[in-house]
Amino acid sequence: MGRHAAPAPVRLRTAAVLLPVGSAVVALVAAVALIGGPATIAYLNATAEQPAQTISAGGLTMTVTKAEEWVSTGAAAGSTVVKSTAGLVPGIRGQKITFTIANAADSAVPGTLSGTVSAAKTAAWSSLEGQGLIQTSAAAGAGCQIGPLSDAGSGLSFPVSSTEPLAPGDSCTVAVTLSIPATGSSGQDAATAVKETRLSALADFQLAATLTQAPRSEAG
Amino acid sequence: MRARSPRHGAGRRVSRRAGGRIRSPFVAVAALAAVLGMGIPAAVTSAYLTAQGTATASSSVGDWCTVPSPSGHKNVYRLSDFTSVNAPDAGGGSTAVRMLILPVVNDGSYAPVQPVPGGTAGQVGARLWSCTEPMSASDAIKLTSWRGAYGGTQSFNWTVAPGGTVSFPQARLAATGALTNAATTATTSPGAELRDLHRGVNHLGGQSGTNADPVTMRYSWLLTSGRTKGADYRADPVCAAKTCQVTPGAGVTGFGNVFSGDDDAPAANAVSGNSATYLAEKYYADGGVWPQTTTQVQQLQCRSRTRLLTIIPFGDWGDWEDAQGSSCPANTLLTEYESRTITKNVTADAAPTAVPTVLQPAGAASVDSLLRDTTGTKIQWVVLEWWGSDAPPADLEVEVFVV
Repeated sequence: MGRHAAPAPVRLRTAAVLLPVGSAVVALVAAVALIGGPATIAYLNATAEQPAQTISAGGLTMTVTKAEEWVSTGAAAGSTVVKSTAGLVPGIRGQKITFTIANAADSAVPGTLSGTVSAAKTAAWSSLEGQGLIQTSAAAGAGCQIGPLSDAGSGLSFPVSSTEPLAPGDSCTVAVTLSIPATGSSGQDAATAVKETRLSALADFQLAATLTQAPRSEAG
Repeated sequence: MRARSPRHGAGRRVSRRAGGRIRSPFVAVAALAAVLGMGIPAAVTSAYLTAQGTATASSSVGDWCTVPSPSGHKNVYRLSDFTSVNAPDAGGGSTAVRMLILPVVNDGSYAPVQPVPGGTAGQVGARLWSCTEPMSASDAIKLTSWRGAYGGTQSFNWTVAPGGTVSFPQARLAATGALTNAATTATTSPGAELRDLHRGVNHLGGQSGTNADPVTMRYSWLLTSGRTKGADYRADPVCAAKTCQVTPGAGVTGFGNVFSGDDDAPAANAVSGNSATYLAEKYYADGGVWPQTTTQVQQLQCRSRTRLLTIIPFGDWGDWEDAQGSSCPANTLLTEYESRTITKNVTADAAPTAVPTVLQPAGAASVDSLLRDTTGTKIQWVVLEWWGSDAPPADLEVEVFVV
């Protein structure tokens, strides 16, 4: 009876070994397959266009918005009449573009901002610039900071960053202000001198921003 | 059966024991791999979460209507800035008018704000600017230009005198003075004389006999009745004879007849967008001299001398004189005639025509020498006037220029 019964446990032990090993291999393959892009598992990226851009990456969500505002820059003593509802008018109307970068309130972690505001010059821009009749300035609101304005000839750019990591729910702004003065540096009447540029496109200002999870030591 | 039951039972136990020994390590490895593979949060793996985004805002140039700024162009004058003066009326009495009298020279200070369509180099002109529509239909405007007659010792009465830092466009000849309605004299104030010439109440003694009209000889047409922004904006002053009169007409009533406040208006006639241009034309040549032409003709001439008995000369030949007819008189018993034909220049008045009022470059001429020019080629006195009950728009301007 003892010899007759001995082979049965051996068959049972082989099956018992193969089954869990197979399960583990399947689980490992499944896990790897589910992750995808094994080389980039540490960073998740996403981009989107305005308006109302909300980018989520794991527990970090950033919102970038823009606001365009036509602002009065003075009066030309009745010598210039504004006819359009938009656009720069020498001595009378300028433009302020404000970019707001926010770390969403539901983000899990603080984020450090880095980015660039850039614009390619159009022919109208170059014409105004050639006559010394375009004024550009940039400023940062609380929480943001900007670097020096760089003029590469064909375009403008300046860097943007946060002064400290933006906590979830925090935001900061950077603004670009454009205007055409009423009178040029050589005394020329701008409204007359740049008449040919009326209704021309000047530039598209683009902010490209990245919010990076702040290291724990920075996030405090 | 009972004996097999333990075997079966023993077999299940063995199997469980074997599974407990062999399956557990593999399951643990698989679980660990799954945990690692699923991705531990970045904080554990030293990686960081990032989010990226862009936003774009466009900038553009707007649209506007513009007129030249008087602060940047001294030869541009707002109607609302004209000086109020009392001027005599033709029928007696006086009336308050808004007037400027400007000394216009070709020294660059009256350069056009923008290129002038048409016109001769050095030609005097006026351009009206506005962005306002519609404009007063009851107000009137009148612009004239005059050759000076102040080469003597007349003194100029200035509101703002030219010279030094004051350019000619900034100078203002005072349009005040006696309201005499009289012909000018050597002691007439130039400002009063020009004011009254412009308003047609001073005829400078008037035309008499075959003498040319003194007003016509000094007058250049800029903008009075007969000129509008329409087809006749550059019409010439025309006379049929040397003694005819071309004097300032009435002002043009209705600013809309001479101004264009429509920046989108197509260029046509006097109008170029929101401006209208009027070029000075005069009837007499420089200095008020009537133009003449010279032609060559064959002239028969005769001379004579005395003789005796038809054959003995007695005395010398007389002077050659133009023959009255087609031949010289026939010889007589006591007089002998001789004839000849010569080429002779004959000057005659040219056909009546108008010419552009042109100023020669001032060069290095002194202010006083320019002011005392009487040829009309160094200085023109331009008189600007508007009147009416409606206050003109602030952007209604007159640009006085030299092409």
